[in-house]
Amino acid sequence: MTADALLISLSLILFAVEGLIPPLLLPPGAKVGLANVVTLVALYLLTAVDALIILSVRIFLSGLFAGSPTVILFSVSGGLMSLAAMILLKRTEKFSIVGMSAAGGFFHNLGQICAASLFMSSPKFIFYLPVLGTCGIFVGVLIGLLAAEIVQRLK
Amino acid sequence: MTRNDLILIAVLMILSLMPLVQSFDSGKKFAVVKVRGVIVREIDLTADETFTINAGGGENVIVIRGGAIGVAAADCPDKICVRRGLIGNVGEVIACVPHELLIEIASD
Repeated sequence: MTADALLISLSLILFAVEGLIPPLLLPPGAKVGLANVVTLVALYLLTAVDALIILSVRIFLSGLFAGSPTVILFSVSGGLMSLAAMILLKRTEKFSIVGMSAAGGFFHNLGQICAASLFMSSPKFIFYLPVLGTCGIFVGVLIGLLAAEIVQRLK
Repeated sequence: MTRNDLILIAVLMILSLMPLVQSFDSGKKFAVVKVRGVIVREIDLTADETFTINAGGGENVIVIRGGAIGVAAADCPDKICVRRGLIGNVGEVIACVPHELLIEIASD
């Protein structure tokens, strides 16, 4: 419980810090998702339930601080889809943290595209996937490498 | 990174690129502007034009230039619609989520 609370604070800090960096290198709508490092580390060092608690509280609080209800809706659909994919991949025990994180990044953006399609009632958002999907995989690999390093040092 | 990771990443990349495999329809292109899911304008992209749409709670300045359409300015907080630039290919979308504004390129 204490670990969860600490990790929630940490992920909120990462979320806030990331918000300060101008999004110049990534296409519109894409993010690095630094806070996902915390989710990955929780998934490895704690349990899937802890990861879910940390993610949900982080989305709720960051939405309160920085966003509107629509932002929360998008974060929830992206976040939950991403976490579900990562939990399932971890269960198979066939992939490293980097592969899981790459899939997490991909499914996060796919989840957001689904939310956008439903919210704006247009299936056309799927045409964002070539850009957002590949971006998600790319930043996912980077976040995964970072998380692998952290998990190794904490063990 | 393991071999399995690389396979997984390759599969995800292919999934990402799937929407690109679409039928290239040769019909006439036009832009559809929707606010809250309701079509407010359908625009032929042949003539250059600039106009303002007052969407839910804010304004978006829409520009048509050289067969493409984009949002030149908006008073939404994130400006994702502006940063998206000009679009001109069938299937492309610009969304301003805070204003519930949607621009799509369609063809008949």
